[in-house]
Amino acid sequence: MSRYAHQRLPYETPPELAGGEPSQAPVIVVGAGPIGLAAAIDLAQQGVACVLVDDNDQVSHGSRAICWAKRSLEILDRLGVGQRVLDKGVTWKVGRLFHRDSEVYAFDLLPEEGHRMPAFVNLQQYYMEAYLIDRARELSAWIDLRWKNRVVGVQQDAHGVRAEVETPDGRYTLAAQYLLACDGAKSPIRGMLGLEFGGQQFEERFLIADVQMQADFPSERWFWFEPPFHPGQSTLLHKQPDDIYRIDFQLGPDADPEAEKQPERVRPRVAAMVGHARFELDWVSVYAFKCCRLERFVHDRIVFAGDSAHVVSPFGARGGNGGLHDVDNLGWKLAAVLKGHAPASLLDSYDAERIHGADENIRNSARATAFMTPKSATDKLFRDEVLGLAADYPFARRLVNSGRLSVPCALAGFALQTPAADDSGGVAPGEVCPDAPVDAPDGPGWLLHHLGGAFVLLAVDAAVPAIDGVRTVAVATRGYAGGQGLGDRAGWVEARYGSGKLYLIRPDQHVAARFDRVDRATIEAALKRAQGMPEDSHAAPSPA
Amino acid sequence: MPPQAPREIGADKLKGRGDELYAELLAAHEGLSEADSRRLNARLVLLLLNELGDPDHAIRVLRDARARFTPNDGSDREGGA
Repeated sequence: MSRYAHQRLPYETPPELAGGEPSQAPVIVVGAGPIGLAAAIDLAQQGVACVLVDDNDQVSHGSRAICWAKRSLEILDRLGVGQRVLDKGVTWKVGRLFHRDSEVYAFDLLPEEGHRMPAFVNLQQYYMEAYLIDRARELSAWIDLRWKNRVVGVQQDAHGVRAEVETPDGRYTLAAQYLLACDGAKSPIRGMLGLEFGGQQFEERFLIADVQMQADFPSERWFWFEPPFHPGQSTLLHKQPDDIYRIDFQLGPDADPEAEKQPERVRPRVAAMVGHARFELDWVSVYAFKCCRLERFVHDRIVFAGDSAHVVSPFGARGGNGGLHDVDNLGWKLAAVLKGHAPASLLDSYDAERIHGADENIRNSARATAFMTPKSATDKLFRDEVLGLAADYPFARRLVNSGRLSVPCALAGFALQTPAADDSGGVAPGEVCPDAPVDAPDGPGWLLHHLGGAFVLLAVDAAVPAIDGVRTVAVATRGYAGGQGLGDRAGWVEARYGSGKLYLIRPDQHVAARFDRVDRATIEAALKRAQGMPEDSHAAPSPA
Repeated sequence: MPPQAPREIGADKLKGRGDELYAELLAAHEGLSEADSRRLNARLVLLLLNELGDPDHAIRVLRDARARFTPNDGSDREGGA
């Protein structure tokens, strides 16, 4: 049925079963979905090898995660697939909300210029996985991709972790320092550890139809409350590449999932919406959802990321995007621990920061769900009156909730960040670095391409002290004449970062600290903190 | 800046025009069915929450109203705050 030409990914007998050298990679990544692939690539770019095992040998069936938010695109750019995703995907930034037959509100998710990445790109998960697989293959010196390798058991102790793996040629054992469980919402690893996955189950059922047709819907997100073509329910429309539209119909709690999947039930719903029957169904799925998360993501040497750690409703595009934020946060920390540059306790900051992120995603997605599927007559009354008020009153338009779309969460107040000494403007510690167009010695480019992957000291109109283990990037907002450093091509660096400031930037492009003057001791203390070093680690080592 | 004391809930702020406001409230509902009155009340609550312009205070008012509220039919027995 799917228009995408799925190909089998090549299974090879693992060396452990073919009489070869067993894997020496320090990390096992379980699950080659977008999150596992991204994690493997991030580690590889840090020079850390992994074995990436997946129980299947094909990319995702069905488009599944399609909305990739600006921050995710920046992460994907850092991982080397950003341009391909941009080239193939459908770029959008406007959302429109309709109630019955009239538009009540439109929002622009990226109203300002000066960013390389758009607010959103829609791209089917199978393309995303295919691009990440291509990138992982470029990094084959670090990433050992093993299809049809299913993890059936895990064990860990103080020295490492062992995974029992089943293949078409039999079973073998993989040993490593750490195991990343990126094995999805039904995570078998989570089950093997007996971990509780607590949260809220929503009764409401939804139908997803990927519809292939020639149509002139603009590249926007359209959401209807109680549209004439689907009375009393809601409908969501997204445009994807290859003339495929994602249409999401709310069905109510009593819908029969099997019956609703049948083409003879789906086609009339789609026809009522698009006004004709000249379309093909590319993929159909009926789902209900939960909002759940693990109590902790780090379990000694087994670390959870993506849907295995947390699941949300799809409204707000916070599932796949939230998982990529996990990878962004985890990759550099795990690499630093494995290289001996940071204590293992640095991973505790992944737990704290990403649990914070997951809770924010769950809170937002649960609130959107409550608005879309009122659970009592009173809830419905308030929902309907918000929609009624929205025509006349601006405040009510902003209460209309069809999903609060994924944005990066701020990490201020967590242990790695150093609070700013003053409130003189610029980017606050804990925030993601905003992008900006820059002039570089090799021509025009983007600021984010110069940040990330390692600790960076960014100096905007300020002298840069040389500090061990830190890359320096200097931007001149005035009078850039080529040569060393970067120029502020369109004024966005100064507008976003201020002038006369130094920033210590984490490898995941978050601001760890901001300084208004050059003071080596202060900067070094902030760096230690951001690397998860104990505060007193500069003290003389105790006598042996 | 020192934290400000929360605004008091329930002190008389109607400037001696309580009877007039009460009459306006009844007038706003005049001639409406019970169902439409419920709708109008929902609208008014939403509008007034916005017009209050003080989310922290609005949250305290909502919680205070619920805390002092005794359901007539005992449907609150299962908690559900």
